[in-house]
Amino acid sequence: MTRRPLLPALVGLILALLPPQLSAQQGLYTAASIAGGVEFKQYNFGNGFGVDRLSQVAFPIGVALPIGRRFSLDVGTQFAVTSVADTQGGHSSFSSLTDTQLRGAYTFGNDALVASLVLNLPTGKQTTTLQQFGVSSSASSNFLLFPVNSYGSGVSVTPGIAAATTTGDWNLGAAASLRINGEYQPFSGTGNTGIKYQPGVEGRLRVGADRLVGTSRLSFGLTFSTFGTDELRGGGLGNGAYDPGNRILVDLGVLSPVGTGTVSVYLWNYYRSAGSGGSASASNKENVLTGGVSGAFPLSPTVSIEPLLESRFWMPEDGSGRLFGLGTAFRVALSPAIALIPGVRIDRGSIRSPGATSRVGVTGWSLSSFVQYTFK
Amino acid sequence: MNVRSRAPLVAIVSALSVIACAGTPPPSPVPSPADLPALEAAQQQSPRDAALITRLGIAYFEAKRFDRSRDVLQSALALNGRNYPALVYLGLAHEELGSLDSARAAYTAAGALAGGKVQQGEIADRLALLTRKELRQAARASIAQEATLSEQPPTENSVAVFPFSYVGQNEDLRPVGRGLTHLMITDLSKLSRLKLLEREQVQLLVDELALNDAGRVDPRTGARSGRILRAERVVQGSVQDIPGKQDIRFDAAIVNASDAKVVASGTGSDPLAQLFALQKQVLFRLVDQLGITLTPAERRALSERPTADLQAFLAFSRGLEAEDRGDYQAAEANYSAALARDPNFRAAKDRRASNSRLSLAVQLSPQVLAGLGDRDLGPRGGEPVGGVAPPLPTGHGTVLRTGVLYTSPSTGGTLTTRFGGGSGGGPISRPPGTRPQLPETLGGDNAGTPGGLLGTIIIVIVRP
Repeated sequence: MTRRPLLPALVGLILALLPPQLSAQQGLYTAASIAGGVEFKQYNFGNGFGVDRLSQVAFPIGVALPIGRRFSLDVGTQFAVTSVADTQGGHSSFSSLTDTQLRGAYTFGNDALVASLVLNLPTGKQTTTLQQFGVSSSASSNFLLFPVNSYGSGVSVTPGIAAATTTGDWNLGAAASLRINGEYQPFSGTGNTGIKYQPGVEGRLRVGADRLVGTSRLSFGLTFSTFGTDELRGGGLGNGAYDPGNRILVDLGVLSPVGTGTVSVYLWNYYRSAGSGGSASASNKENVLTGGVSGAFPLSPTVSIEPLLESRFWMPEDGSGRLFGLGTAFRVALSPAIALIPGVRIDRGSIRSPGATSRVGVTGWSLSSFVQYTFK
Repeated sequence: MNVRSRAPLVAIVSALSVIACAGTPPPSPVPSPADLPALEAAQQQSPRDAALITRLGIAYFEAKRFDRSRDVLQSALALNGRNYPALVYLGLAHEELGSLDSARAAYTAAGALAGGKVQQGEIADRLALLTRKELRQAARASIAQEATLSEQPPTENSVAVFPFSYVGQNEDLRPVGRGLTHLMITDLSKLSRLKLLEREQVQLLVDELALNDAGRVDPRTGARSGRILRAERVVQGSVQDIPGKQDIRFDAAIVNASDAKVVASGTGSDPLAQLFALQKQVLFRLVDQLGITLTPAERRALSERPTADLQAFLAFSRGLEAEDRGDYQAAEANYSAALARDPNFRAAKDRRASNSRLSLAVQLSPQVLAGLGDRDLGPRGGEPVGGVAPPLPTGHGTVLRTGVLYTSPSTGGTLTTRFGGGSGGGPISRPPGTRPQLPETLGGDNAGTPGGLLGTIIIVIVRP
């Protein structure tokens, strides 16, 4: 704890030792831009699942702003409506603005190092009724991957640093971040207003590499996340602590020029070990494996098509799920400054809930349209 | 608890303020003409600041005042010779001023200072492009000195193969002359007693002389061109459709450059599908009439066919034509099309490799070449140009940005990466790690099966 005040001094020292170079490249963004859109996703489940339909419509908006040559700032938030329909005809929905992330990034040297800081501003609804919490959490699955997985989680700051270099034919990178959360009141309603929740610190480490192989680019990454203890105190639930499990994300990709376009073959595997409270396991270990092929082919100087074929497999401690998706998007340059990406996707698969003996069918479909205006 | 949770906040906010203070925006890497007054004034104040003088030279280049740019950059290099951006821009200024030798010297010096294989490759590509300009400049100089060159003896046993002209109405077949020229040069160069001139060198002279189809088959014109090139002999001819048939006719002749006398000629006609057999037939007639006795090994070598696929050859020929007119992206597409039909078409493979360097060099902006622009966002990683697949991004910037995306994700950052180009803007499933982070205990990644959450509080808390 006593070492933390050293951070600003360390950052200042690095800045002082690394004066701007003439040959430096730009930061995360080359031009200011504003992007937004709408994304709708719905899953329908077969008989015996308990839930008939889950849907969410999200309206993201983000602004990216380079300040000078080395500093980049982006800010973004979403408004989302999550709805759940059960098999008895019941229907619940929850809508709110989400938290807003403000991220600043400073690039040192010739793309050598990026120091970043993410502020999570609590513009979302962090204090909810238990029913609202149930509805919003239903869109948090790592298997179904809705656009918004949390409406509000209190204040947090995430300083991070990323570095990269070239060694022979390889580009190598490493990155790390530490998310420090503030305490907040998660629940409203009778008996719950006194509950305080302090999420533990999260640390992330990533190593990545890429290189050209022939005319293709091969990329690889491994991200490891670990967590401090989450603490809950006060209110009717009493005091408690929980240690989330570590997570490992491995991603692989090959991007190749094919004809007049590019084809990307990608694979990522997300593994989460079980969390625990005291000595008891929460039995929530899971693994999500996704693989797909996507392409980008110009149809004209201003329009390209981006088809996609993807499959995803979910392996929790008990139960399983699989989805096979087919979709496409179009990238349309309406003008030199305005780009539009409309997309559609359909998924079909099945899911077996923990404790269930049979699988039920899942059909998902999503529609999205994003637009970006770049200030030239 | 409160005190503990705020301490890091204070530290981080302090860090941010330090970043904000220390991170006063440095000057833009590529000054514009609008910066000239300020840069000139600053240079008056600091006349020995090499970095400042370099920026001034770049601003003059951007303002298209190339002579002034050259002079200023040379003065910057006099203060510090190990100045990569200055050397690159000096080379570019020399190119614009037509001083190609000086441009080559500047690029070569820059290549010695290049930081890594990517930058070295870019300089090598630029030099390859410069070679084309040098050939064209040499062709012009040769025409200007025609009288003098015509008096000089030719290089012994040297042969220049003129681009065969096409006579016919089928536009699809028009480029086939280029392909046959390439084949003829490739074959004749297998005979060690002949010295073949480079196809590009001859083509550039033909272009500079603005010879029409008739001029390219006229022995007198061929002889004149041969003398300019100091070639002893010239091979010229034509390919033509035979009206009413699917056949084509191939005529070729070898002309003495000194007196325009036709010393050998070959003619053949065959169905188009037999084009390669026809080319070999004419080739052997020419060789025979020249009195060259082939060894069995040479005969075998000359009999080799580059491809058995006529469509692949036509695509290859279109590639040569595109390359000759400087459209390197179209050339690349055609060479790729040829290879798609016949992956063993060696000439197409070699040609695509060499053309690719020219294509990259043409697309690379001066800023990126000088190391002042973002290579990942520049032409090498940009949108398709001219209907050709974009070369993939190079450099470590991509790894760096992915590192930030996975360890410090933000809604704005994730949203704007959709517009970054290439595959991935559409409805792909992004890994959980690229979404904004949230605590596990309350919702988020703890959710598990959606059905299990309905109407239930799933907070994984174990009471102590």
